[in-house]
Amino acid sequence: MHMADALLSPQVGASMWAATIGLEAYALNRLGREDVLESRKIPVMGVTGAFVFAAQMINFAIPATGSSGHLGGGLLLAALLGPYAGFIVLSIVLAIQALFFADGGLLALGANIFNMGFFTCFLAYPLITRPILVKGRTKPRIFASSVTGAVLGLLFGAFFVVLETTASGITELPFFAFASLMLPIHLAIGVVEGVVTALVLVFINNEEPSLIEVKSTESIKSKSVLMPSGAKKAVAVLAVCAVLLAGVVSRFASEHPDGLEWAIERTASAEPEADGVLYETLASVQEKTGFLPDYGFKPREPAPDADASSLGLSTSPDSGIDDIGGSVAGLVGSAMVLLAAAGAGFVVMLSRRKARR
Amino acid sequence: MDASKIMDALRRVDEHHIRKTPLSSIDSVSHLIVTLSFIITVLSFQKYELSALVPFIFFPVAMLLFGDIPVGMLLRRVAAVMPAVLLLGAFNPVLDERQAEIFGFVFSMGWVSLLSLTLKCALTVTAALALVCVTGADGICDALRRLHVPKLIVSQFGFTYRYIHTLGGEAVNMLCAYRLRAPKRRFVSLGQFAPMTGSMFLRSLKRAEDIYAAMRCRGFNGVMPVSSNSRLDFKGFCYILLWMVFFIFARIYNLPQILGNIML
Repeated sequence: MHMADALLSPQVGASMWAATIGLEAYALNRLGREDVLESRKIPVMGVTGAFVFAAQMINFAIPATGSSGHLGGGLLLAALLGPYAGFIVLSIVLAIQALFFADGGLLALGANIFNMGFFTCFLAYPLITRPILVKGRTKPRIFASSVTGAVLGLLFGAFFVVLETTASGITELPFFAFASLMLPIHLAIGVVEGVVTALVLVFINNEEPSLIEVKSTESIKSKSVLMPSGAKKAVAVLAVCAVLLAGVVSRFASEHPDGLEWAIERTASAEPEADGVLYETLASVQEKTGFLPDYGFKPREPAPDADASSLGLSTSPDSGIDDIGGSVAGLVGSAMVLLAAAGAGFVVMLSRRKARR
Repeated sequence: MDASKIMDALRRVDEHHIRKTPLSSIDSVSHLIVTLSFIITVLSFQKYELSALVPFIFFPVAMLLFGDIPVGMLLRRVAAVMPAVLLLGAFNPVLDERQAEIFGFVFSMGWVSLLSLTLKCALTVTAALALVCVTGADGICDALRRLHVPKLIVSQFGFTYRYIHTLGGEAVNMLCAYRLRAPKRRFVSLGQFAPMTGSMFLRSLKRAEDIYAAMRCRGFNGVMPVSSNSRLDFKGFCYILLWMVFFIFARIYNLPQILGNIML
């Protein structure tokens, strides 16, 4: 489920990074309430992350399929370290995979951490796995909680991959078709992941039960130092109001000019426009970078210099083929740039070989 | 991917970043800023823009040349990532209803978007790998620390990376021992997987706790020491400025089209 950078637009990537940073801050805040430095959590976190990475290198056979799989690790990390430490460690493992193995991109890292960490560590584990294990860590309970948690965590993660890729406009595949491809595959992967996680947890539970982080429900409900319960309610109410305002009330937003624009219209004949090279350049930059011009989505049309326009087109109005230009400038220019890059590389390599002799 | 190949790949990256190259004298934060800017700029192109992307090849080429990075290593990683991207983009030529014609040959614009997607993938993957080849894990930790990332995350990054080498080596040995005892099995059976990995985890945990106790006795205070203690200097500033100007210029103006117009 590791998404490459090419599958996301900068807007979606940045949004997911913002969400992930918020979750990291939340997890750090919750961890900060205990003195992590003094506790055994520091070495346990580091080695558990490395363990998940190493365990992923050991492929196991999936019965009756002839293929193999490997451990994902999100649910296992949450079970061993707790949801907050588990999330942080998983994000570090994913970062190392992205940096050293290109398994997921750097811009997409925020989305990958969210898809694979949030749903397992903050939803599946505390809402499904832990409540089952709190009542008793028998083998059937471990299996049931692990499989259910893994399946739901992976399904939600896969669903968000579809959402993010569709929102980025990368693929022509319709949303429902894409979802119908991704979800069944990840259902199967989730079952296998859950079984493998359960097997490892059963082993660890038999050897060293204290390693599995399952607290009673009383200790889970601890108050956050930074956010008293009254403030939490206020934030929740504000969040609901924000959603209502953005999603419902905004539809009735006035199209009349605001105060400044009204005043300008009264004093000048039209909205003043700036002249000059600097303004034109900045306006061009803004046009290219602004993804919500006038608070609406940019119409999804190909850029004026879309490549087909530079591919030498002959068009006829009745042919049904888009009239998108008639020059081969883009092709010629691209070939020249590639030659220049290759030539520069060749020259540098030659001069380096001479210097080494 | 085979466990021993994974550890070899990690070792090659580790060995590479300690080489003295023109890029190794530039601090890690500069490299990180430039690489992230590059990735964001490349991904900001619309899906049918192809020729405008081509000038961005200069960045990974420059990193390869001046960072002395083996081309084969990068190409292998790109090849490993490409199938997933191509699988998704493969629907574009089939489902995209827009058509174009060149020299009498009519084709779907989906091919243009597929090529654009492929080029974006190759560019972003090579840039990210070149970053880590030039800076190394220590450089990444240093950059994170200087960017005020919480020290718990920075120290955990350092711990995890170092333990990966230890546990990875142990995983390779375990797999080798398993294959010698079960030569007909291509993969570890599901029943054996849990005891193998579970016992590996328990042994590693004990070792990690001993190491941590030794570190605390030697004054470890939660901040992972880094060997590269660089700072943003004039060279780094120029490096950032140069590439930013190029990225912005290449983003705004379609350089191949301009060149082509001049030629034709």
